[in-house]
Amino acid sequence: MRKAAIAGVAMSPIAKHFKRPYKDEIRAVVEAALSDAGLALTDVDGMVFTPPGIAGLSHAMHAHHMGHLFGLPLKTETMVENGGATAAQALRFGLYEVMSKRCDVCVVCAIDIRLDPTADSGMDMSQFLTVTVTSLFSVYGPIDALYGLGAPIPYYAMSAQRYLHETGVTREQLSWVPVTLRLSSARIPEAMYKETIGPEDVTASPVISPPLHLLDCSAFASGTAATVIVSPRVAKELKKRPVWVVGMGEWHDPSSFFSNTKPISTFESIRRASKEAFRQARVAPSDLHVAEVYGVFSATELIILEDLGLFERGTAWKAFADGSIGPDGTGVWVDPSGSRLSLGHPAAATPLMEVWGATRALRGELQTSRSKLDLALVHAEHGMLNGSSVYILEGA
Amino acid sequence: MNPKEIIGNLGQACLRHYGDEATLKFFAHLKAREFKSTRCLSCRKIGYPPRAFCPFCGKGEVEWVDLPRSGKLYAFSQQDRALRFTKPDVLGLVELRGVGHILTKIAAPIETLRIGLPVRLDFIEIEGEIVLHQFKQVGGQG
Ligand SMILES: [Zn+2]
Repeated sequence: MRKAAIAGVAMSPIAKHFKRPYKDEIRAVVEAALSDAGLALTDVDGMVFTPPGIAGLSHAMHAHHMGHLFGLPLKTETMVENGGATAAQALRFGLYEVMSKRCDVCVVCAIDIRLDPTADSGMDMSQFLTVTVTSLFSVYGPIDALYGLGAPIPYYAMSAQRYLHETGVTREQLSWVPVTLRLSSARIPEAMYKETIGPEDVTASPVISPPLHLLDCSAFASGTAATVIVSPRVAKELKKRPVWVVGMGEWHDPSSFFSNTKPISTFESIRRASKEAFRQARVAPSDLHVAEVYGVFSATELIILEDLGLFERGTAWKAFADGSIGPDGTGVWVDPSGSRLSLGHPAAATPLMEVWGATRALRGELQTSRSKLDLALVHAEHGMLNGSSVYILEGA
Repeated sequence: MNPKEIIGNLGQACLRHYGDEATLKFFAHLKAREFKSTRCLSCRKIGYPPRAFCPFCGKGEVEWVDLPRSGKLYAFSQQDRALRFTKPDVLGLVELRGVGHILTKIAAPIETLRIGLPVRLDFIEIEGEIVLHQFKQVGGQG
């Protein structure tokens, strides 16, 4: 297998709803990623997609319709799905297509769409409920879904409760997570939330599922992102320095959301997937300059960073409180993309927004007082962290 | 059609579509006010949710056994945008000895709960057809 590089990245503005049909959003973001790479549409020989909305309308044969949309003959045209890790696993498919020498320029394009009965969907409440309830059964499985779970927030809230209970981290200390992540999102034009907030704003915001308040939660949103993967031969000819994928890891626990027998405040999937990726890249957690993680809730962010080995258990909050994880901090830069909490969270597309943040940080394209950044990690998960994907990226 | 009716009808259809035979049997037991799951005939471990095989050792022979009807509260929260129950909709994980922690409805105000609280099994009938398990505080009402 040969190496593969990330040559171009792009993402749409993240918002509650797209302003135009999703196919136009996909076209725009793919063209922007190719232009970022210095490549043309006609250079593309493979495309990998995610379903346009994992909790919404059916999108059978989406990849096929995308090939038609772009008018491209392709060697690879497929769609990958696995909950929140969807885009991370689509990325792996694209990487393998290039590493195995099948493709030279493979575009991975991920999208998620927020559906609701009042806005652009044109649905009334009963149509909306029909679509939503069926998709929730599909997502949660029949046993949990019968309890009427809407968003997966109660799962993450119970995980947060156990995390605080077991580590002694306080509710007040947890509030530093959303506060400090805003420092990065404030510099990202595509982000949903850019205003500065204080810890007291977090606990003053409405309780969603105790102990989580509104500002502890990511906002499910619409958004799309694309990543251009190229072979070493193509990378050599491009103007921008490539970002190399030097490690990959993935691990899945055989459970549905919560494991019935394992802890819910620390996760094997994070430890195992990252261990595999670190070993492959021959680096240690302490070598990382950037970490983009799938922290969709404040406590989840801390759990992931600690399980990745970046901080001792129960201590990551300090790096948020002292700002060292921020854009002008001195520790590992966490979520230069603006983070799940502040960028907005199009779940199935989010991992490519993380790749966007890691790539642009390694290329020195983001506003920061930090010196040259060389090594980044991208983490994504599905279910209740019972599956994780990890990538290690290296700047040239 | 009102929202509760839609959710109710879909619940029945989705259970049949997304549930396997072991899941359907689990809900049939609950309807008969029985709280059961499957235990492996080889390694004797109880799996939850029930499955037609043993998820621990991979063997194919299992038997249905009664689950403990009392346990301890492992974690709990509440959702406001409840699709089935009126809010506040308290959900929790209850730790059952020999089984692990299972997701269930907690029939008590969240203010009265704490981790480790002893709880006992109760049943809740919805839409006339499906019966779910829920847990109440030991010594609580009902
Ligand atoms: Zn067994």
